[in-house]
Amino acid sequence: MKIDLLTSQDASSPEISDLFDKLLNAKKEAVERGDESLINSCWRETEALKLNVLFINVFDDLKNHKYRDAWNSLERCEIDAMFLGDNSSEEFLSNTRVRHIQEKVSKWQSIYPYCVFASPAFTVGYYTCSICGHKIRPRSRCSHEKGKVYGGELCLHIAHDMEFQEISLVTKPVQKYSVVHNDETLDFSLINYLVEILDNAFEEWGLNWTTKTFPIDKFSRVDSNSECPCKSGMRFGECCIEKNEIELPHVDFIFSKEIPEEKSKTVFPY
Amino acid sequence: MALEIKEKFEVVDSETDIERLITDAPKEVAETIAQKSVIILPSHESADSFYHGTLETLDYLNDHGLSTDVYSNDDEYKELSLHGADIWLGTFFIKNFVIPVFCSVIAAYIYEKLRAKKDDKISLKFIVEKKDGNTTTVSYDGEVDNLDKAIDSVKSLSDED
Repeated sequence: MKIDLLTSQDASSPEISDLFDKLLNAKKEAVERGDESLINSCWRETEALKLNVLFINVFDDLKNHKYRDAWNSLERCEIDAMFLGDNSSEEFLSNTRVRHIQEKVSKWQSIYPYCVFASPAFTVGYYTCSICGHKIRPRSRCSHEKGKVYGGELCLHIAHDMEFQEISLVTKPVQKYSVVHNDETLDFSLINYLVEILDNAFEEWGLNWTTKTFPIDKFSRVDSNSECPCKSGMRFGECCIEKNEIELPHVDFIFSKEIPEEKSKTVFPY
Repeated sequence: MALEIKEKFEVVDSETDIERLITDAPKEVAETIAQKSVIILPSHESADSFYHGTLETLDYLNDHGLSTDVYSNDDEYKELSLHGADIWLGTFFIKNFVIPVFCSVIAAYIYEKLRAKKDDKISLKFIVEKKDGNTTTVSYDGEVDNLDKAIDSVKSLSDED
């Protein structure tokens, strides 16, 4: 059976809903028979299908300029794909687009303007295993491995006796959703440029970060108190204002299809 | 306030030796740790907290031929989950005769198990026993790309008196 799953219309179709139901029923039957291998196979198929649907939603959110919603869902995709990766063959990951999604998630994240996050630190008294409830101590473990699937359930370690310590501002957070920026003040033009060209979430594309140099007279409209275009973090007046040329961070997008001529030109942001 | 790993590489004489560790250890574990080749110590200027992931590190070292334990009894062991996606590996006391094995196993752990990338930041401290029983502390905070200099520094202590 072949089912189209490219767009949000496909994702909300009765065929996809039926497929989720069939997987759920197959898992129930496998549980009744005690077929551990089939139970875990149903888990894999279900999670991969959910991941595809979530990634399609991300693409829709980007199209609709819901950047923060898309950012949070990209993190969810990243985590779900990691768990699938730890419990599946390379062939499965490739055939179910999990590898494609993993690769594209990190690329989408790289063109977001978010760079400061609030990240909490805390102490954890002890963990328990989500599968058997065993209290995990340095010299006492259960047979379950964190991140692996048992009986169709993912083994996680549940933290107990947590004590909050502090919140720090960081550039690489553990939890990516902890963005501290106000989206209205940020430039999402790279995302807008890309998403306007792509027709669906699964098209092939790539990017290459580089730099491009422009003559100083192209920056005549930049105020000396503004951030320097070279992105050093300093003010323009304290950084590149006296130079003849300014080197800007630049990204080249690579597409597997022809794009309109106006989209092929270098975009100068000032 | 931004609190992230800043570049630092330091090799200094240490006052921590195995006798002192055994003397100061919780009594339930003193005898056990005396038999171990590697001991994972509390970190982050803390007397009782270990970085999140310490038990995974402990299991990996033990599974790869290094007899290792943590410097805490089971009841008092707790972990510190820190801000940022940096790799906070912790503080390790390493007996002289396992230095070469430790260096290759810890490198494999960082690159293969933790899948560290070159530009990831890492923080670690190795207290290394020399042949004469004196110890040297090798501390490294910075990008994984430059971690080799810390590992090479530990290796060089293998034959030093």
